[in-house]
Amino acid sequence: MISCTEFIPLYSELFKFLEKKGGYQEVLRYWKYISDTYVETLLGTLVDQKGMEGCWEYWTRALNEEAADFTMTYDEKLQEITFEMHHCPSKGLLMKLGYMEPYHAYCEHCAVIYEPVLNRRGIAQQRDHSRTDEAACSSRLYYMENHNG
Amino acid sequence: MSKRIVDRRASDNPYLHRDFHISSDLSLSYVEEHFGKQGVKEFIQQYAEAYYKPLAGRTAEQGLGALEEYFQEIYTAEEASEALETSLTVGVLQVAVSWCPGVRHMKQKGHTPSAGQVEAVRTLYGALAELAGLDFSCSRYDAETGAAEFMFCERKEPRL
Repeated sequence: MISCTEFIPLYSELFKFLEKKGGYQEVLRYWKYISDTYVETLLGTLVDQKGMEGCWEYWTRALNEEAADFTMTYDEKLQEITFEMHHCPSKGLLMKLGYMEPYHAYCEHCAVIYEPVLNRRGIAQQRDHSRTDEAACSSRLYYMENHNG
Repeated sequence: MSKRIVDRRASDNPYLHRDFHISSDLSLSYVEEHFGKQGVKEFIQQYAEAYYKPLAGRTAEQGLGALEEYFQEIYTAEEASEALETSLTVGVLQVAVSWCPGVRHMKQKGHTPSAGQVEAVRTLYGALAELAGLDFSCSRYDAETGAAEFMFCERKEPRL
């Protein structure tokens, strides 16, 4: 069994495996597949039912279960969620292992797999990945101006 | 209308995101669909060689007890200790899994585990054994429940 506590190293190795097979395009193809199937079903359905509240529900559950070190703020009036990931449990785990080299673009998957699902529902995702080498990042979700929801 | 804030430290929660079992299975099914069964074995082999290096080293150095401890740790982390039975005798570690917490979670969530799950036992632990200089055999794997029986044995003579 690959324990769910061991998934992150597997994920990182998957990206390396795919890149070895077909370059970065192959990795992007996988992220698109995950976005269109798994993320669309889980996150997409929640957002369809509850709007921005669905995003709040999705990430509070996931980040708590992943034992992340984070601050999430939901401004109900502005319909905006901000995330401060002080220490990402995934990138942090890969860095802590030490003996495994994380996939060079590991953190990019977060931008690629969520954005299309959110954009289809009028939500923009703004991300700051400038501190991913410290296992930290931040992001903001907000409705696009032309959204009618 | 107000602002809601959730502020958590890593130590506030246990690390147990069971949906990662589904994510893991999607990795296997995707690799099988695009690179075949051999691709799945190759991917798991690569993962095992990268991830298990320290465990294999400990096992080679300290013996099969290190491996038994590893299995107990992951099943405890999965809150599934009762699914695991191990028996350590001189030079042999036998492992019996009555149900796999990953397979159970996937099914509870309506996800059908992929055919490649068997390689998360056979290829995965075969590679771990090879790294640790052990022999490995898997006598049973039940795709319905993930139940499995397998063993690791110390080699009497080094493999050439």
